Amino acid sequence: MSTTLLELCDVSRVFTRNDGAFDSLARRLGVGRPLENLVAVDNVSMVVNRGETVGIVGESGCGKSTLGRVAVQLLAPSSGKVLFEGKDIATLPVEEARRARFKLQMVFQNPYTSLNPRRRVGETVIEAAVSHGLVAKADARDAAIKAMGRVGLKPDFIDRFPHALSGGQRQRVGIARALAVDPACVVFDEAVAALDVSIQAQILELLVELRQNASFASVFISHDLNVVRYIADRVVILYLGRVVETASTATLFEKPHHPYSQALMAEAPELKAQKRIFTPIVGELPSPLSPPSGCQFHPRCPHAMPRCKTEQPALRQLGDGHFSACHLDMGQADEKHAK
Amino acid sequence: MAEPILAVSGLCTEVVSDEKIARIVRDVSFDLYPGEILGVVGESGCGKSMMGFALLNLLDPPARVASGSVSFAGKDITRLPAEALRTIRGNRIAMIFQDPMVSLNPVLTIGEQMMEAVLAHQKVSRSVAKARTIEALEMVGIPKPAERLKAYPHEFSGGMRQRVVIATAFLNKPDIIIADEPTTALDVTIQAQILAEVQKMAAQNGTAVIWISHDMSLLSGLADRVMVMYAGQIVESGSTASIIEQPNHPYTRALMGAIPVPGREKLEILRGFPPNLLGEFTGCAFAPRCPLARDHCDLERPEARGPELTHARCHYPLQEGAHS
Ligand SMILES: Nc1ncnc2c1ncn2[C@@H]1O[C@H](COP(=O)(O)OP(=O)(O)OP(=O)(O)O)[C@@H](O)[C@H]1O
Ligand SMILES: Nc1ncnc2c1ncn2[C@@H]1O[C@H](COP(=O)(O)OP(=O)(O)OP(=O)(O)O)[C@@H](O)[C@H]1O
Ligand code: SF4
Ligand code: SF4
Ligand SMILES: [Mg+2]
Ligand SMILES: [Mg+2]
Repeated sequence: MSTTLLELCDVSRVFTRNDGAFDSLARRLGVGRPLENLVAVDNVSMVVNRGETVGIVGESGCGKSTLGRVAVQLLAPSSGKVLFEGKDIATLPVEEARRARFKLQMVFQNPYTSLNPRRRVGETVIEAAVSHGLVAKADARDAAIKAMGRVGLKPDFIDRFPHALSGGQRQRVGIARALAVDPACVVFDEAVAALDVSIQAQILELLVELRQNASFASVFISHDLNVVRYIADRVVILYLGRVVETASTATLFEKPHHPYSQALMAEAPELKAQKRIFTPIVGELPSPLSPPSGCQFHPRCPHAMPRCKTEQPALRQLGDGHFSACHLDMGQADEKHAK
Repeated sequence: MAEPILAVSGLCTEVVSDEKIARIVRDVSFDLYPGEILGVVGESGCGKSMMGFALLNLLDPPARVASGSVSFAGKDITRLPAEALRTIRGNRIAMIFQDPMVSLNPVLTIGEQMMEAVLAHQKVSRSVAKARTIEALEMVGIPKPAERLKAYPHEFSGGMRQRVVIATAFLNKPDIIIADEPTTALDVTIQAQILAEVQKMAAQNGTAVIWISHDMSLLSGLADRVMVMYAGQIVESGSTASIIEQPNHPYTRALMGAIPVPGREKLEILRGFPPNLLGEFTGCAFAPRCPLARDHCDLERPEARGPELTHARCHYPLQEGAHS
């Protein structure tokens, strides 16, 4: 069995901005503005190995959720391929594709909107497993209780509706639902954002434990670098839909190469018994509708050089599994970072 | 030592419904000094927001301040008439709420409402007010602020709206800013920018800041002093360094143990939830979740002890235990 479970090859996802009925009518009459394309994910390649956790980090709107949705086949890529166990799901026969998709699960960003308010917890958790024939209808209730137990939800939650659950409990229902179908890979989209640290810790420890026992791979999307550092084996840093750096968690946090990675790490709050001076990156994340030329980070980059404005840096290998898309030499970046 | 700019004493709030009384904020006392950044931390539902509202006498029925005082410039805010309160709020004390739409008027442009906030409290020309507005928007990282003045709140993303509210709070260089988790929904990059400005305001203008957050990591870099809140009470307070290095209250230690920090192998699990706030506690409110609870903890309520600012409401404080 190959170690590679899921592979994204040059995947892009473009959204066409929905600009309303008037504009589309005008366009049909030949007088409107052209449609604006938003490149949410831009030529991303990444690999998820069996049993591994890959963290995805980046600012709001950089395409993390979109990438996650493409990875689990909830969204089709505009170009590029998603290979599951070496096979392009888009070209598989219908039934086989359905089975493959079923192996890929997602826990959604917002626990308040991702659960059906009119469906009881037990049903939500076990429905997919039943409809895919994994669990017999007659056993559904027991299976639901078991699945809930794995995420620390007591059996008496089974007949509750989502409104009677706390945020952390809802998030666990989402996790239980994803795990109930014995997935090969789960995408956790901001699964602990907006939860108290006490509940966050419970869910993180739960994931660590489940991973050891169940050996599914996961993609962990988060804007919290401390959380990603804790949970991920490898990290991918996105900027405006592009991968700017990827490395093992240890390498990335100890020796970030890309100026954007360095800036993110410098700004992440850290529990230290010392006040600090916050040194923000200047400037705003640019609009993905009009991304900067060349290296997209150049308007905010403290190291920007003339060529950065015109030439898009390709991902370069710096070490084992360590890639960075920046024109700077490794030595240069380290030196400046040290100052 | 300088005089405190705000002195809070025995503050209690109540919410009355169906003959039940929820006591949400319980006997909160603290002093706030000019230029100081005071962090308030605790889990969801511990009463942080309600304490913030109570400090400005902003509670709406059925919630109310039940007892205690909040003295600002020699006056008790909880007893001021509405008119006097309005002058203080927005001018000398600014509040930034968890939800930015509470503070924004949806039918006015960003420029109109921010300039109005300047003109209502200061005798300056419109062009000065406009220049200050642009400057404040720049401080919170709104790109091309001069062009954004004509935008309405709905044209901004949630994060940008929150930054407008923060900029508005900066406008009149208030004596005190009370901020209720305003950066929770923002990217670390934007958050760092705002925290940098808050630190500058405190250092350069002597603005005192109360920063409410459930994120101890954030407060550790920002605050001079931290108060830990549990079940409506301050269970421990002290300098940020002493709280982090030598927490006295088991709750404080549990909160910090749950945070992923580099090198930490396992997170401490704090099970259960804060208690409901109806009625009185017979013993320690934290006892059902406390790993160190003994029989006595259920029988007697721990009171605030020791020097005013480093007390822990605990019968068996951690640092004392370490010595015995
Ligand atoms: N269905 C859609 N139609 C049009 N644009 C979309 C759609 N989904 C996402 N986008 C746009 O694609 C970009 C990436 O969005 P995405 O939700 O993937 O970002 P994200 O990194 O998950 O952000 P956040 O941290 O805020 O969740 C954004 O500019 C977003 O507005
Ligand atoms: N107007 C109100 N009427 C009744 N109960 C209220 C009211 N406002 C708050 N509460 C209750 O008081 C308790 C404390 O609420 P508060 O909003 O102050 O918590 P918090 O510490 O700010 O939590 P969070 O971190 O989630 O914002 C909660 O149990 C809440 O349900
Ligand atoms: S390519 Fe240039 S602008 Fe981009 S990150 Fe590297 S130095 Fe900065
Ligand atoms: S008083 Fe007892 S139960 Fe309460 S925090 Fe201290 S040790 Fe724990
Ligand atoms: Mg997202
Ligand atoms: Mg609150």
